[in-house]
Amino acid sequence: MQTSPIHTKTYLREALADSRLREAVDKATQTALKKRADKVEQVPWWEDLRHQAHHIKKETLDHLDTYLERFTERCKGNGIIVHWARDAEEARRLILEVMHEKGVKKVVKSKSLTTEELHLNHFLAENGVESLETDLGEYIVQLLDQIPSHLTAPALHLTRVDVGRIFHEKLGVPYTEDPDELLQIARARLREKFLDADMGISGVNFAMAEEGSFCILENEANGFLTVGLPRIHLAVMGIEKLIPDLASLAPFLKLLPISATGQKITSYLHLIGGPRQAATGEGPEEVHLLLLDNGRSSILADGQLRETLFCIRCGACLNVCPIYQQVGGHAYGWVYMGPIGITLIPQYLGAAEGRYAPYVSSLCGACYEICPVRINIPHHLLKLRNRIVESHSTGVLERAAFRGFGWLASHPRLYRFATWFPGKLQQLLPGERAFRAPGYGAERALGRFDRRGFRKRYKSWLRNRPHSAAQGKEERS
Amino acid sequence: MSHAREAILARVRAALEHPSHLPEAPEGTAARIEAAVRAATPADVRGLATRFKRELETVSGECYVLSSSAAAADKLAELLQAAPAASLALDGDPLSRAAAAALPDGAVYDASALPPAERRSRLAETAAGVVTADFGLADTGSLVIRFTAGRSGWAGVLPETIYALLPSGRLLPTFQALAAQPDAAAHRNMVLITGPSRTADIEKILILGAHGPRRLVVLITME
Repeated sequence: MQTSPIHTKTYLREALADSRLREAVDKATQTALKKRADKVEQVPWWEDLRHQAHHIKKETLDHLDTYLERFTERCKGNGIIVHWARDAEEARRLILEVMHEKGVKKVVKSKSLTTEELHLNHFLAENGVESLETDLGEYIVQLLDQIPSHLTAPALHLTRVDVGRIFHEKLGVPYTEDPDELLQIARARLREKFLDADMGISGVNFAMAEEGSFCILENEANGFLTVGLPRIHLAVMGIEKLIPDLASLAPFLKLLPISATGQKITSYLHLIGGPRQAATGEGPEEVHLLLLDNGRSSILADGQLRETLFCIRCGACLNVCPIYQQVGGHAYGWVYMGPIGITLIPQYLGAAEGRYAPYVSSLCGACYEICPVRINIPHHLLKLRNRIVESHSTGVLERAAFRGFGWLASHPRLYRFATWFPGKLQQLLPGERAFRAPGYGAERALGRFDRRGFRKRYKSWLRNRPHSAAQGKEERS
Repeated sequence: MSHAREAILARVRAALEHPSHLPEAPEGTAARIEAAVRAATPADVRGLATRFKRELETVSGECYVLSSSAAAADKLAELLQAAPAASLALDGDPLSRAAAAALPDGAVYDASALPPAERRSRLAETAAGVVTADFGLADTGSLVIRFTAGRSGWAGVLPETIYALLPSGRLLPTFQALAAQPDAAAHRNMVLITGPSRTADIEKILILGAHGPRRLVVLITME
């Protein structure tokens, strides 16, 4: 199922009308936030860690060319086969070439958002390669032909009843809604596939330039079986995933699991620095690493928006976002969702296709407060909104309306009249009725205008307001 | 040199001509973290073992601190008596072999002695594994298993139950200490294991034993 952020308004309406979805998302996000808060409390140096992580990402991305060269050089020294792809199409072609060359027919995948960016499963299916997601949540959404609805919990939008029905319908097993039984069904089916697969495809959480190695964090051990059992391992990473060295991984190992799932560390952390050594006999014969640009270098070109590439995909900003909590991930129409997603959508897909995305936010700032790498998301959203307006991607009516408002606001007398007049006009309406606002009033009650007008009302409020805390402080100082 | 490589590097270089406008970290950040971590680190091996045990138990792992390797072997036998395993794989490490030496023969085998293809399918059917960790990280209760010659790392993940031996001298306080090991460069492939495998993908309900072990028992031997 292909979706696009251009239809986000429709998706939002559908999501808001789905009370089961809202209940599932609300429950899951609240649980995740609570678990996170409990663990953050145990790390009094949390704020320093956030600063440090931000600094490490800044250092790496400000010198990305140097780090990329060093990293790929070291990878080659370690026997890792490096591929470069400018865009999704090139990446898909390269992956298929490797598969053809190596006779790959069956693939197991561990969760990777970067491969979602490539629509890899669909592409492989079209080319006769069976590609199976092995993370439980991702396995469930693949059965539904959906994309994940959360960065770290792909099936967060589904309840156990939903999953029970999906397994019953798609796998032909008796209905059960017991999560443990559901897991056992998936485990039994996937274990066979792990042993049978020619290739394991994974993403990359962090790549260490100095060592020429990379790491993957996971909990289910599906990652272990994906990267460790098949004869070929292919990892796909965006060029922004680099950090200088293994020592600089330490703060991220604290920040990512706590922010994502409220764990001090994930159950498994795989450090991969090359294919199997003959003496051990374990691990893949070949490790391929595909470095993907796909728009990242153009994001890098803005000295501020560059920060959106710092994202470590923990999903904390989704959990805390009052909009995500209501609508879940599919409403955004793309693989990256929530507050960080709406900064990435117009940057990756362009101002025309992504023109609605930066507005799916209340700018409350909770995402910035929770972000483990201190990405100033609200600030970037304003900049992106500005960019969208300047690119003339907004509608004719909207542009005309704002031009009109701009003109009015720069003519004080007319402005005064315009804020006074509706209140007067309203008095002609019978009873306590308010004006109708097309497209707005259907779902919300529009209040009545104050008959005095805003300026008079504000002045009288200023005169009569009780002494506020702020004022008291001023008087004391 | 591929065209794509050159093209991407050229794009990155062009992008970096625009200077970064991002805030710097406050002065002393790294020093404050270091001091805080140091203050939270136990001073001796006994303290590290206690911390390791506590952390592992909070993630549903089991941990026993034992006085000697003989005591660890006894404990292993006792645990296997309480929860018999139809088959038991050893990772091939001498310490694992020693700990399992007194176990009744039959179902016990050395996974590292099998050719990889056979090893893989046999381990996937094996009930329990005995492995020896290269390190233990006290602040998270994590085992570090390097993929090294003559040893099976798969034996630590494919069976349902894992018994892991950890000599106390291999306890490190943190990941930083692991990254700083003098031989780190020679061991690039490794896995850190913290508790049994798990998932919370259905309604955020935690279930142990996803695609890996359901039970993880660590036997720390004080040296």
